[in-house]
Amino acid sequence: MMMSSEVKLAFRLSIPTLFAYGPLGMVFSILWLQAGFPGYAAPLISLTTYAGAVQFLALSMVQEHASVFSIVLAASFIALRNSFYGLSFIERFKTKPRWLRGFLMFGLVDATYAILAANPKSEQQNDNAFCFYVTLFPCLYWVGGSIIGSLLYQYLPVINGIEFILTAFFLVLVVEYYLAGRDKWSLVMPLLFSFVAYALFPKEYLLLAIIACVVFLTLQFKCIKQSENLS
Amino acid sequence: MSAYLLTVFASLCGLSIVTRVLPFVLGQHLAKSPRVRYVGKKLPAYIMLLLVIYEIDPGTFAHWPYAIPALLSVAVVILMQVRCRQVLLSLVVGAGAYIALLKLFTT
Repeated sequence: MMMSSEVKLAFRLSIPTLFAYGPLGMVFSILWLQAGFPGYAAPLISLTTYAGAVQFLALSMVQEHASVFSIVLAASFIALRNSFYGLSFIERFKTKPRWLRGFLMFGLVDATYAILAANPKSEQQNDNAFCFYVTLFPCLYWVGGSIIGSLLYQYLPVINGIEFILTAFFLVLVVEYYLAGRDKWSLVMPLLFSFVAYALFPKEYLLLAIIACVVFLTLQFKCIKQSENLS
Repeated sequence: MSAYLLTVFASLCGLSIVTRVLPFVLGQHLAKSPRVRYVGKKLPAYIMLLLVIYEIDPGTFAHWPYAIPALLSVAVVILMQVRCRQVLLSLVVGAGAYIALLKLFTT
């Protein structure tokens, strides 16, 4: 079978994610097993919850036998950030077939969001296939990492710091967005908001900083509108 | 798996579905608003920087090595990307620098 150009492109774009989600998925399984829980459950959780930070948080909370309610509440502060990711793709996903739409929505995690946002729909490629593979690969890395982790957890070497590749990936996109748009606010506001939010509410600062950015952009839109009306 | 674990992780699965489908359910009329489209277009750049900060973790600034390895590696990645514009090269050199610096500062 010939591989379509969409698969190849999606794979190439997902390589940084491989080095981040793969090892992290493994680490999740290793910690899960070390906590004394059954190994088969770890990949299942990675597949059905598919949210790195939420899984690590939940793992530490179930070890302390926290109530289901408190776990879901704490997790929702992390999970809610994904609700804002969809805002960028309402139009793009609208025309997709039903099953694909569902998969794309569920699979819209940090890395997928980053890749899809940086690679808008283009005439040269089949956007259905492209979106599908961009969403599929990170999911495979995460679940695959979890499977490998639970099978081989005694033998795995852990390289300290390999996860920085994901940080670097997000950072490269920051640089590229800046070079493309020269929007100084996009550098200043996230820094400002996250440090203020961290100082006030260190546990929920990410969600708060995202909300602050959304509010900031909404106000910015209003200002642009007003200055357009004036001129 | 115990009933407790099953309840916890079934709820978290539900949480993932609800939080990710939400904008699209609300979005049917949201998408028509030029304001939402403006925010949706501008937001990725902001979120990427927030994710960089999130990955570094502001908590690490409080104690040794004060996020120094991360900050130095961030500088390396920015420099590489601005100079060469080669994504994979920036990632490999950046992660390599981080792994080396982490070793240097913590052992």
